[in-house]
Amino acid sequence: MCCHLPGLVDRVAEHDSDRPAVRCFDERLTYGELVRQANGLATVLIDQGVRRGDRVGVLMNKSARCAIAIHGIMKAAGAYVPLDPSAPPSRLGLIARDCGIRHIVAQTHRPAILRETLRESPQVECVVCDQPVGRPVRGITWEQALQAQSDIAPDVGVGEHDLAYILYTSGSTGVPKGIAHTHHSGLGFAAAAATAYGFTHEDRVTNHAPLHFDLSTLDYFAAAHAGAATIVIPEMHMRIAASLSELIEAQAVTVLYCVPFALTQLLLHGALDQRDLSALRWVLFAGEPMPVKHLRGLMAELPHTRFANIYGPTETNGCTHYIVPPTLSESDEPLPIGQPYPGTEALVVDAADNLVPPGEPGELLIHGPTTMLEYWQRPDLTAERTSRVDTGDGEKAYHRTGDLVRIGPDGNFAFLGRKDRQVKVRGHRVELDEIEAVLSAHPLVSEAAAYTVPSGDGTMQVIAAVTSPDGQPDPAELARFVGQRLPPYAVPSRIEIRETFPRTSTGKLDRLRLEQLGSSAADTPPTTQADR
Amino acid sequence: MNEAIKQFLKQELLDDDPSIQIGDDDNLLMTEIVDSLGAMRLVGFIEDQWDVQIPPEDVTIENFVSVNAIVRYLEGRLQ
Repeated sequence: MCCHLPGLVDRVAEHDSDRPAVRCFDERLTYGELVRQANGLATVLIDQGVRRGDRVGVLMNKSARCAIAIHGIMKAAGAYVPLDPSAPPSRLGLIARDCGIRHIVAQTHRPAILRETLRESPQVECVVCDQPVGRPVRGITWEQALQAQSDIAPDVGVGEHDLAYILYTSGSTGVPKGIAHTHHSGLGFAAAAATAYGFTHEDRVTNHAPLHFDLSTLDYFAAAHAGAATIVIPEMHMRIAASLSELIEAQAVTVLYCVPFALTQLLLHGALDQRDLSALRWVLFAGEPMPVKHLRGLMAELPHTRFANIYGPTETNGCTHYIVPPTLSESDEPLPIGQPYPGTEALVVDAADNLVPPGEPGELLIHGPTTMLEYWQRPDLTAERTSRVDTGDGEKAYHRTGDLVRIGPDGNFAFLGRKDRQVKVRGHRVELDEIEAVLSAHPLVSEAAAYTVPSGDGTMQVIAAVTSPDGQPDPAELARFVGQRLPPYAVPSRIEIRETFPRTSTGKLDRLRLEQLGSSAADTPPTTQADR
Repeated sequence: MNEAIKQFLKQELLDDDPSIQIGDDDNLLMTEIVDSLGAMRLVGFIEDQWDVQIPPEDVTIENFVSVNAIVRYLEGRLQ
């Protein structure tokens, strides 16, 4: 049994060092090469002052070297902190200062981002990269780091309760918060996912998500748990669906894991009828609800593939999942989030932490081996999001997900929406996510988003925006469609038709930007809005 | 052709940000100028502007990586 995440790759390398570990186009690493080079990077980082528990930034575009970086940092007993190379340097500086990053491992197409991030982060002392960095820091080239490669890992005694990585997510206030995971929670999720989908050393698992997005932990760690290969999808292929499908075919990918948006793009623009994707065993998705009609389309295109909806906030890793049955019912009910992975306990509670009866909505609480250690240096927030509940076998700490769920008659959890997306409109409780689910079910709607704005009289009104691939649906008809399915107060007072929605760097809907677009559009006379 | 494409990219995808210059051979997909939705809007623009149908299998990195690549592809199609 491994007690730390790099132990997963060490274990494969010991028995089977020539097995493919990571591939990004022509860049390939076997498990043996990955382990030796990560040992080399770890040795160099320790020489440069990395000590147990230190946070080390990873500012890298997608490449096979990302695997060397994350394992090298953890082998030095450090915790890796992904810094998204497409984020504004001011945000990267905020993150680097928040967790006191003194070392950065970098490789980016845009050296200016690194230079500006360093300007924002005066505490950084040492950078591993191949470019000039613009201010005096100790610089190590990748060549130097890789030359230090060795069969022997530095002896730093990393344990399972040591910090492994910190992922920063935007808080509701816009200030990023660090979600700190130990080797224990990383290993817990790697084992759960590899077991649930029967990963073997024959598998080729994509890494579609960027490193700062928690989906990437399955791609690297669950794959290594089984001795499978991680196929890194370069940024360019994430943008062009027909090239993504080409890559999946060419590299005989067996497991694709990404956000639903990428799957919708693949279905609509991926030229799937031209591709042979028969090697694809699993399509896994997480991050947002998957529109059921697009899932149905994808299942028709990929009849031999199985599909699973993975649920879990970054705080818990993936913690529940729903394996989609081969024939999907004709209803457009949102997909359930299924049931917890073995070893994880999920409770549905009311505001006073009392269990609610099955079928009743409540907040989802999670306790299990995949759950984070804490919010980095935010004991207040960690305490606020932790509940101690005794269900009969002693009191345990549960993470409050902030998500509303209900247990269905079949025992599956259904996701109802974010607790903070439950709004009051004229005194009525309205679930914005429910409005979105109804709108997305309309045949002409590709995606839908609902939000509230204050109306003149001090109350809130619901606004919705939709995208449509085929022509222009009539907003009044969409409003009627919602009105037939939801109570009148839940019908949006305005429905905007948009060509596209803004996305965040992780491929999720950028709600803040969408609302800004909506409010600027409201200043000009509407042409495609339903005035109700 | 090059200028029309660049003008579309600047006006529609870059919000007329004057600090960003687009060279004919610049990698549009690596520099965050064109994301996956931008790519589809660009395809729509080209189809309307030059009255061509671009099949999904032609929307590849090779054909859309730069302004010059798009022009090369389009010239091939329009012959």
